[in-house]
Amino acid sequence: MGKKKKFIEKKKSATFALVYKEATDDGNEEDGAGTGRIFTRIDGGFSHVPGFSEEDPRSQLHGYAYGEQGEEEEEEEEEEEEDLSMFADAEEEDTEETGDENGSHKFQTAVKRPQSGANSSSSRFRDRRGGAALPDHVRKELVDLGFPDDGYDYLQHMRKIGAAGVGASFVPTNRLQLDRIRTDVKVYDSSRVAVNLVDETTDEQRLIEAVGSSTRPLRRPAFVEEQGLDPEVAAALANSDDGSQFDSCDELEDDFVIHATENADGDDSACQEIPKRQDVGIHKVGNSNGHRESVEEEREGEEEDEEDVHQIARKDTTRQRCIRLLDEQFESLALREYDDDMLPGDFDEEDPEARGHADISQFDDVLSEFLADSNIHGDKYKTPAETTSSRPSKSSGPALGIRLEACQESSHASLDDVSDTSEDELVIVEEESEDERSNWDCETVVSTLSNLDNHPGKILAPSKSNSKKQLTLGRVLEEKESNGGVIRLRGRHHLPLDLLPEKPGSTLIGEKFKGIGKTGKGDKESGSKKPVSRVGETPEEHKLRKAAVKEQRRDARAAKKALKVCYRDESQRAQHGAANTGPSGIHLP
Amino acid sequence: MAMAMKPGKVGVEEAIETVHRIRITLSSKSVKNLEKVCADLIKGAKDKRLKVKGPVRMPTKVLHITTRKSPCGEGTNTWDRFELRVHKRVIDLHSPSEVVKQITSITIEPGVEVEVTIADV
Repeated sequence: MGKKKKFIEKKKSATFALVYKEATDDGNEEDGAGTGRIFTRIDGGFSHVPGFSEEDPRSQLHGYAYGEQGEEEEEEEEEEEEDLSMFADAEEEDTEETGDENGSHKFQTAVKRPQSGANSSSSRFRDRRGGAALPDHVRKELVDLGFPDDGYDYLQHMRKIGAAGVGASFVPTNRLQLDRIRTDVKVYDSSRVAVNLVDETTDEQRLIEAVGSSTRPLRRPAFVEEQGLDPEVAAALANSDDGSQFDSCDELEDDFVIHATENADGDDSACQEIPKRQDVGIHKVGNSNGHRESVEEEREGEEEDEEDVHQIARKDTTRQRCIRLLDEQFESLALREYDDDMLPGDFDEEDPEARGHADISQFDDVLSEFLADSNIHGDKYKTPAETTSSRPSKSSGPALGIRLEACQESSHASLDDVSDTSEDELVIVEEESEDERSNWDCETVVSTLSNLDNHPGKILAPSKSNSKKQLTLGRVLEEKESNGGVIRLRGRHHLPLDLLPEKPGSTLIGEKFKGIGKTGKGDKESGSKKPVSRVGETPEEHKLRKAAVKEQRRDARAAKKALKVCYRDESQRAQHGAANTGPSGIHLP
Repeated sequence: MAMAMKPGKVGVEEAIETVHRIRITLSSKSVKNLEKVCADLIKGAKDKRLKVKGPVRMPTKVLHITTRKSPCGEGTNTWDRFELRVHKRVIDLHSPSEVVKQITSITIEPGVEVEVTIADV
């Protein structure tokens, strides 16, 4: 029996799929009720199907692939091709000058071609056609951009900067070349100054401030006669740029430090611009140097500060340049800020009460005299010792008693200023009875204990626990009673070993543990006799022996692992059980 | 193959008149949309007095995906069973291809994929 005649033979058929087409800018009307659906061929054939092939974009690509067409149809096709092709907005290779159908001459990224086997041939056709037709100016542009002139249009992958609002705009930088400026010209960077319209109302001061704050002086290379560089040094630095002069001089010729230190003495006389006030200050300090101890203690700190400032001002050894106006201003500022009072040197003349100089150690008694002077303080600061010493007539009895009395007396005397207690009268001391003081009631006691230690709670009847995992209730109760209410956990994994069956193999647990352990160990020790290597064994015997050993080892490992797993499972179950049971005091590792 | 040939002009008219065997295959994940499209197509074809066979319902292809519910490996081993069902209908027509194009372009629900196979071309 032959095959039934099929409705459609695959080899002689054309298959089209209904797909959604991307919206194009042509403004062409699509059929498919305006949603842009077209039929595209998916079986890869090239035969013409009336009605379907016309709108197939694949067919537009290769107008020459149809062998059956007449010439008129070809022309028709090409016209339609221009209108309906979905690549219409792509860059045309031969129509660059006139390719402004869309109004903008823009390069596009590489156009996606539908993936199918036949299309490779079509693209081959296209490239071949396109390669021959690259116009000259295109080629020139390609070469200018650096692409090889191989007939491929790389411009289709290029995108113009800034076109259609996408991309960055190119702004050339303005870098100032500083070495071209004369050395006596100062350079300032005012690029950040905001330029505003100036009316009459604008405050000049504000303007100046604004400009000044945003203007920065530009750093220039140091080949300049500023900053105190000697002209020789500047010249040397400038010349050393060449690098050629460096070989000639092996040693450094920078001995400015030596020069500076040599000029230390000369500088004092050289820098005469220091204002007179500071001069005076320096003199004063110089004078009081030797008499530093004579000044009262409160002044000493200030004087030291003063000295430091002047030290800075007078730094001859380290300073390399003359004192500038700015330095003087700084020093005067320091003086002003940190020395509001009179200068230390002036004290000797202006202080009317100063009676000359004396050592501070001579005034040790001043404080004690001051404190002891009853005219000033009365009896406020009396210690018990002083109280008793001022009342010698009352001193009788043990010293302790006196002190006690005196203490109490003084305390009461200080507290009761109202009462007319003078030192000579007897003071009645009240004492609390001991019974009153140390009687605590339980409320007080209980309230003093902290809740952290005592946990007050209600006494409840013991609740039924809902643990499902109990071996047998009877056995557990038995164990409880026998152990005095405690189930003992023993062993490394803290298992209730008492609850394990004693007979081997009677429960699952017992089987697991005891069976494995014993057999595992048994194998090792008694079962196998390890084959020993003999002298003169053949390679086969060697192999066999080694294999046997390996087997043994493997078995041992497996047994060990099984035992471990068993233990682990059991301990996990025990943990679960412990988590469910009541008291949280059981800690399982 | 039924060809209605008019004497004289061959070229253009032949394209319009030649009746082909056409198979339209519709596939979708949702049955409702699919059945609706089928019904519309058959109705359209019958309006144009075409010979229609169908819709032939192909067996539904089900793609099963079974995954663990848990993102980690912990917990009871629960599994999710997902499936994707693809329904397929086939409609056979005898008509010239332009007519078919008109029919298929009118009604299409989203999610329904349409394939047209034309024989003897």
